[in-house]
Amino acid sequence: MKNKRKINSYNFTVGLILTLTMAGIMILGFFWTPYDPEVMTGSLKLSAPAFSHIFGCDQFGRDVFSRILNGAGSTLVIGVGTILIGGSIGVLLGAVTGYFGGWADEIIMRVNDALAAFPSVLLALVIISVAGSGTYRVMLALGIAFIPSFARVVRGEFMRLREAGYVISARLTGVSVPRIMFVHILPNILPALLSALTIGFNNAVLAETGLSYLGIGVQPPDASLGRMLSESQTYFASAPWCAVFPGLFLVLLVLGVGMLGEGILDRFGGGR
Amino acid sequence: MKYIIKKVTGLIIALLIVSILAFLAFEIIPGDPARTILGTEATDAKVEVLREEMGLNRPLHERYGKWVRDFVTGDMGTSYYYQEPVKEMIGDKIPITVAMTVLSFVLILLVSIPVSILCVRYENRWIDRFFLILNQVTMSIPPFFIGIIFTVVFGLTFKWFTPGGYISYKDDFGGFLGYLILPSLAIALPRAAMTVKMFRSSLIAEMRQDYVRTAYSRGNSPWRVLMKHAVRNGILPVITFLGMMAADIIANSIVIEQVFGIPGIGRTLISSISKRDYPVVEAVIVLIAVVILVLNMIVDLLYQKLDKRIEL
Repeated sequence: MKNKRKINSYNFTVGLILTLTMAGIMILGFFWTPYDPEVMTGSLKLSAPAFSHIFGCDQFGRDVFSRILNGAGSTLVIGVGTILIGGSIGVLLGAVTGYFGGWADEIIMRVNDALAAFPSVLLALVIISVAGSGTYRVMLALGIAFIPSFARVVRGEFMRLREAGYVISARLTGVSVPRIMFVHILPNILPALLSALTIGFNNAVLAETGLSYLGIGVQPPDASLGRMLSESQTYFASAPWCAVFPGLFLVLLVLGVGMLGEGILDRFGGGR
Repeated sequence: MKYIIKKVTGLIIALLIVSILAFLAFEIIPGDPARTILGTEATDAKVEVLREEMGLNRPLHERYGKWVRDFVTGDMGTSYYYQEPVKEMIGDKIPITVAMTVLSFVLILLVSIPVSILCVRYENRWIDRFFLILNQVTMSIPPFFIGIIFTVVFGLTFKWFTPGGYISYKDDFGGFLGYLILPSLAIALPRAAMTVKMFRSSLIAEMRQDYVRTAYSRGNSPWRVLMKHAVRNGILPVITFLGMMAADIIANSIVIEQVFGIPGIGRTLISSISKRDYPVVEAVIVLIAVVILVLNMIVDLLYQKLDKRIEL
């Protein structure tokens, strides 16, 4: 058992450090990039990593590191936007259905189950094919597609806690229902919710880059890690850095957030 | 029996919801399908005739009914772009995607079951630790990135296959399966890592049970206890997990088909989305949804069959 604890705490610490580092880099990308990510320098086409261009240059002579910073920005906006949209509506739906139960719960959860059986990427594809692509549409599509998964987690937690001692005593002392739900219960499900949000963030990042790879996600001129990967695939043999670095960035981001989510559950999950 | 009826009713309700949502989603798209087919130069009279012919002037619920009836009988509409029945467009692509999904599934099992058992047998020893870290990393790699690396390493460097040189199952079935192994592995690896994580913790929980101690006390070897006793119970939660993963595998195959240039159903879907060829998009999406929902039901039934503890 002692070993288990050791592994747990390293999940949280490593995850937190990695997440903060990647988040720092992505936020930095909004304000500063070493070069203009759009500027093409003919003489630098597919040039290898060097001190001046640490991740090399792509097929148009653009600085790969600057483009990663820029693309990661889109990824961050979409990832955070998705969990904000999906999370807020999902929490609301899950809280109401889990707390009250009854026929509304039955109906909403039936629709929820039908949607949850559906891959969220596919649901996002439906929305994108109807509404069109682009950064904000992708965010909206993924946000809607992720509602069921959040609603399910929150509903389960609310059902578990709605008859808890402190909730019953709050009810008896005449605390209003919204206050019980969001001031009394919500803070207690935070570990489960936060870990669901990290999973949602990762799924959103993977979905966005996948969609952008397919050419139906983030559209030019916005940079995107997924599109960088699809563009660089042709040049992989001669210029692997164009694909390897965006891919590596993606892996580190997902790894960090994933470990953080697990660490949160391990550390604050309260024996669950 | 009661359990089966409950599950089948659940499936029917789910199918109903998905079909209504899909129908409505493509119903609210701005633009007149009749005009899309005829082009912008068509006269209003001509468009009106086609509208009547397509039944677009009838009320919504009638059109939904007709659409469902047609779909069930195999008439999935006509592509706007190719003016071809959707059924013919996707018919010979379905086996490709099915083969890839099944292959991925088999690979997930082939990789994850031995690794999980090994990890539990040597719990907290170096091999377990090694796989724990490897798992965490593998889970974080997007399948299409694994795919890109595979095409370079195995295609361009080792020349085991020609990237983009897809072999049709009609020409050479062995070659077809061979071509699909790496794409399927790209899909399978991250899922296998998730499965290992799940199966490992489930097995570890089983190994702490009383019946395991009893099995030891009867003189069984650690391997035998693990294989004969713990695995049998520990695999149950994994079955549900694998069922949920079917949806994921299919979703990922859409992207992987693009990486390896496989002309499966995913490629048709993506190119139809870019061309705004809605009948094709609608048909493919509904088809995938039906497959996933039916698969989930089968998994639920299988689970019940294996685990007698579940209420009937």
